[in-house]
Amino acid sequence: MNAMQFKCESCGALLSPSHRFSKLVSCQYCGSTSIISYSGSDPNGQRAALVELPSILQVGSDVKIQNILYGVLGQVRFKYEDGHWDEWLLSNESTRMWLQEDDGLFTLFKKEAIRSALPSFEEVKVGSIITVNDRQVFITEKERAVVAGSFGQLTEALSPGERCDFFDGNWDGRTVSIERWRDELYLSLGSDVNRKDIVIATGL
Amino acid sequence: MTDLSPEVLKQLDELEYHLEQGDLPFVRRQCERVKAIVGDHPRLNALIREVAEREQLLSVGASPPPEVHALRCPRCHISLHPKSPDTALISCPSCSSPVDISGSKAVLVEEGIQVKRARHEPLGPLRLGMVGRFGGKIFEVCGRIRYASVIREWDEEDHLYTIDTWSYDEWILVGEGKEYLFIEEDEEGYFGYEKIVPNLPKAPPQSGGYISLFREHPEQRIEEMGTARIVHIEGEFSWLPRSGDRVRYAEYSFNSKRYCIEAGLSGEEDSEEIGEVEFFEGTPLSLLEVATAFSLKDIIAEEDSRLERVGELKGWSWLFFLSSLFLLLLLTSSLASSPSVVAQGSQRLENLGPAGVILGPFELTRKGEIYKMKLSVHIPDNSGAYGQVELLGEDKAPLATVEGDFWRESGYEDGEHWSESETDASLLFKLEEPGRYYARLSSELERPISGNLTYEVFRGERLSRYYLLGLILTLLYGISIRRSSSPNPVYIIAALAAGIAAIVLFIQEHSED
Repeated sequence: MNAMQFKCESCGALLSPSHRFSKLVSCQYCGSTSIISYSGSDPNGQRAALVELPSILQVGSDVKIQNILYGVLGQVRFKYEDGHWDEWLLSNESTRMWLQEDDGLFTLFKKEAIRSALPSFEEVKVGSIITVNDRQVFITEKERAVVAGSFGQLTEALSPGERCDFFDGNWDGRTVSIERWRDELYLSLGSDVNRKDIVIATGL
Repeated sequence: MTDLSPEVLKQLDELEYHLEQGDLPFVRRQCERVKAIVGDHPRLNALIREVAEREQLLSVGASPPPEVHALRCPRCHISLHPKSPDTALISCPSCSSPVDISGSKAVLVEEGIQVKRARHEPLGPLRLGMVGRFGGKIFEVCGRIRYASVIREWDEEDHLYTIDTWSYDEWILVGEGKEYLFIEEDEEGYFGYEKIVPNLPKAPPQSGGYISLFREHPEQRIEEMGTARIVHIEGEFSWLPRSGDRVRYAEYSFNSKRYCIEAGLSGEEDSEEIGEVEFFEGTPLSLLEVATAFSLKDIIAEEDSRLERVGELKGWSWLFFLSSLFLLLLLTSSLASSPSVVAQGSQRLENLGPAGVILGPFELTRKGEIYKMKLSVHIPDNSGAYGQVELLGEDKAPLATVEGDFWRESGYEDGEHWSESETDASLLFKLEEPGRYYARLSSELERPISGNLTYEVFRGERLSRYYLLGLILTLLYGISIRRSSSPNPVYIIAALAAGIAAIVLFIQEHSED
């Protein structure tokens, strides 16, 4: 039995997940499903293993979004009380963006400098309106999330379990996200991306 | 050995850098892609070998072995089979317990909260696992949440919000590209909802009024608002819905679309603190559209045939309006015309006894016409009399009778005069045979009183109340057939019968030999 094979707890047959980070695997003999949990270590000992979820994006591939070509450099998965979402780091010669993938919805975020004082995370209430860089932002969500894992190239080292508080809002039909990492606030302005406007580029 | 292009060499430089960074899967995939283009090359092959060695090393020693647990319901221990690794919550197909599988073990979300499944059977044909096509995309039905709601609904007629209870299912459909579609199903039908980002977002109001989520839309009346509570969960979810979770919502319509603001309520039972606000745009879906999307052939055939029947019935609605018009004319004419007296006679009560007095003869000439025979009495206050008039044929045989216990009372109460009486009775009859007729007046008195007993026979009586009833029935059903999507054939037959009966009455009234 090699490292990619496990015993089915129901019938003892060998299970061979096709992907090394599969979370669920079905036994081909008895039909039982097993849940596999990894230690969270990656080759560098810094990054958590990611369960492979169905997505059109893949680290290392190229993607055209609204006719602009990007390379998909890395992926970070965040986990919070009600579920999880993925963020994909995209880059080309002129810019660097984050594509958020949450329950099949895609939002393309660009970071922006915070030019005015923001209320503290604790003060912000969902359903209220706050002023962010002269914009009146309606707050739709406020959560505490943690990094579940990461993969590929990222702009900074993110450790599994690292906390990220965030509040999201709407302004003028766009999504505004404010994240708090290590007591620093980061502002991103997002636009919805239709799934059909995301084209996976083929070839190098 | 082929020479590598400067672009490929640059890429190999980058891959070697990523190798040192530890991005082994990324480097392995990129190497495979480069190899597919340039073929074997010592530098590339060395890179591939290096990746393989490092991965092998990590797989045997560096990472601790993974933990493996059979995925079973913690309550009844039946095997669970989620369809997606994305699943965070799955309901047990056997005991309906919601099981959290987002972590490394299956954990019961709550103990004994889930209400008996039998009470929350789906309302229509949708079932978990069904695969359907909406807007050209394929979706699978992955979850169902039953909400019980206390709603405030706008009443257009009374111009106020009425309070009611309501329950509905929210079906969660997941597409091939992980996109979500939410189908709301209640007793009134289906709505397909998708998440949106409005440019005028707001929390769901609690006091009604007008609202718009888009700057370019005029404000619309909030048609429905309330608080809904999850009472049943089944299937798979990428989040963790729980029985008892509450949402506050408000809905309005614009341009054939339904807009919904939904706010999850967090905290204690009576807390109105909002956890998350989401916005949805909904499109109404007919049962036929839902059945077509899921290729439910039986329902499609049933719906097609029902709609065909409805179409046929609606095609006949002109008949109801025509009948209504005709009945309206009859009613107008009957109200405008006044019947004429064709025979009458009177006798003093004291001259009558139970044997009575025969008066006449008089001629009744119109066969099939409706006549009215009226008996009336003129008696003093605080007295009573039994009176009777019989219509007799030429051979003095009785044909019809009008009778009554007549009385007249009056007096003073609290200084005010009052008076009540019942002093006449009448009978409508259809003349079967024109000819000579007689009337026999008779009476019985409790005590001797003076007064008169009078009979009158009228011609030209119209049955206006029947016309009115027929008019109302045919008009109402005509309208209901036009508006209803499933008119009841029994009512239609009843309304048609009313119309036909009125026409027959008219013909009979006006037919003459």
